[in-house]
Amino acid sequence: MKELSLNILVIDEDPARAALLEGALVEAGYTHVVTLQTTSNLHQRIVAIEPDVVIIDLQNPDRDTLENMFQVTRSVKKPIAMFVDQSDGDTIRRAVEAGVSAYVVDGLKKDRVRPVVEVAVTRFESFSKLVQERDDARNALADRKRTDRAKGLLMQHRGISEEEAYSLMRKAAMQQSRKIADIADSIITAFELDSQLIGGRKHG
Amino acid sequence: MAERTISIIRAGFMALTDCAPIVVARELEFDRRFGIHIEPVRLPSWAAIRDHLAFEKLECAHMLGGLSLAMHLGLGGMRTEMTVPLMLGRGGNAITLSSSVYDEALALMAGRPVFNRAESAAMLKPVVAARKLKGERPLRLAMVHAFSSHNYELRAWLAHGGIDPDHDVELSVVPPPRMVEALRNGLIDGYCVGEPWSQVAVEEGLGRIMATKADLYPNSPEKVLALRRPWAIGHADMVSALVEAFSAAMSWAAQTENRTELAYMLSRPAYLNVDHDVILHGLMCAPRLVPGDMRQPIDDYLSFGGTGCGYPAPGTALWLLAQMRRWGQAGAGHEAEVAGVFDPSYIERNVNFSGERKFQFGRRAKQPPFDGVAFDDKDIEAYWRQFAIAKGA
Repeated sequence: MKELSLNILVIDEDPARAALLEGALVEAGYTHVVTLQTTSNLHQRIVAIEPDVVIIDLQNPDRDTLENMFQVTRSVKKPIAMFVDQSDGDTIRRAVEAGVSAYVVDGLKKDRVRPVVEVAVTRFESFSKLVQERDDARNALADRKRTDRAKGLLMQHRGISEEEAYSLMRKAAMQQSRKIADIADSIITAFELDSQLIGGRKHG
Repeated sequence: MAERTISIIRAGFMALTDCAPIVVARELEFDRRFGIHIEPVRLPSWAAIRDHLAFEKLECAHMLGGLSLAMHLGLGGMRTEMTVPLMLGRGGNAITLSSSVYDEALALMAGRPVFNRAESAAMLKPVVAARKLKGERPLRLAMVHAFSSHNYELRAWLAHGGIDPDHDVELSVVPPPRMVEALRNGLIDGYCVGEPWSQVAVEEGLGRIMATKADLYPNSPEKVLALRRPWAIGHADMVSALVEAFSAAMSWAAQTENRTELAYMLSRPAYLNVDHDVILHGLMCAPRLVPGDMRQPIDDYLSFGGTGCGYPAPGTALWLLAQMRRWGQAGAGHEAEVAGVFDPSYIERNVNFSGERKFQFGRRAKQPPFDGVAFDDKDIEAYWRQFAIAKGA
């Protein structure tokens, strides 16, 4: 059970995802997990924690700061490098896809690191799936609003019923193999341009 | 009519004025003219740009010249073979000092400042000495990346003023869009960064510009168009189209009459999200150096045109390698490997290319650089070993 004594530092600006990852690591038996949400005082914290592995969100703006701290200034006792074992291309590729970057203390065996990276990748993947589902739900609502607006414009300007307006849009969507919401966008834009042109003429 | 297929090319960039070639190529549709569609992708760190490019989440990127070479040599990340077919502009960097540290320096100089910007690090020497004597914390200065030209410029400027950047001050890395905030919060005393982030600090009255890239190494490399070599080899037509589109965008950006429009374009939230007027100072090569003072014209402060501006001369890559050697970032003997990364063959096939636009860096310098050590791309070891302050071995 030597592997599980690794000091793991998780840096993530998203508290929900950080909690998810920390929970999963602890569940997998890693007892020394520290999570940081902000990166202020990063330097002192890292010196105090002496991490063997650092897991950080790929998009975190402080990664350049962190890498410089690890690689160039050697201000931490043990040098840390990005987990870039060339033979482990697939793990790294999956990590990048999932938005995870991992830094590992010099000399730590690949076999000890991979399970930690795997846990992180899995959690990041399931978290982004959750976010995707939430966004999809929001988009669906937004689509509905746009469709209603386009329907309203057609009804008002063409003097047709709601059903007729919707069937016109559905037909157009089918013929052009586009989403109804996209057709709605085109209709809204067309009416906006129209009213701008008419408005422009009035003022000009 | 059959629909033409347009290839989508994702282009990573950082929120900096010199990402203009990417923004202009897209916004003014220079990309379409050459049959491609450029999709700008803003990223928050150079590490993210490097990783996205290395793992094929981007086809090309606005990148620090030194970082493209570091990727090629496998320094600090996955080893990735690289090709640089175009330089994306020149200049744009400046060294800013907080107003309070400047006052501290001025007091120690008995109120007599050093006016020559290339020599102005001499003002910091008494500060460094006084702080050591009093047991106070050393000066904290920041740049944007270990392999950035900003790192090399800041280090050369300090060393020229007799300050050892590795022992006399604390150097750290802060991403460009966070520089001003770090200065405001007193986390750092000064920095070297690209536009518009120098002007933002001066306009806020937080600091003053001590020296600019134009005062130090005016023709040295800045951002490059970075590509994975295997992708470049497999997509020669697209590389040519990219070079054409970005060259056209740079020519447009270099026209005086287009600067205001360019400043507005860059100021949008999706790009820099900074006031257009502040961006314009840099684009006009007339930055404000001191809060409240008149703006000052500085030739070549930031440019997208002029002789050989886009030309990726292999000697330019060697200059960067020489800086990496001087500061102990790379081993010896990588000359041939590095020179091959900067590949002018694409721009030489460019429709508007003519021989006079070739730029031979390091051989035809009209005047010696500010530090007095002439660069020789035939012997970079001899070049950097002439410096009294260096870290390489």
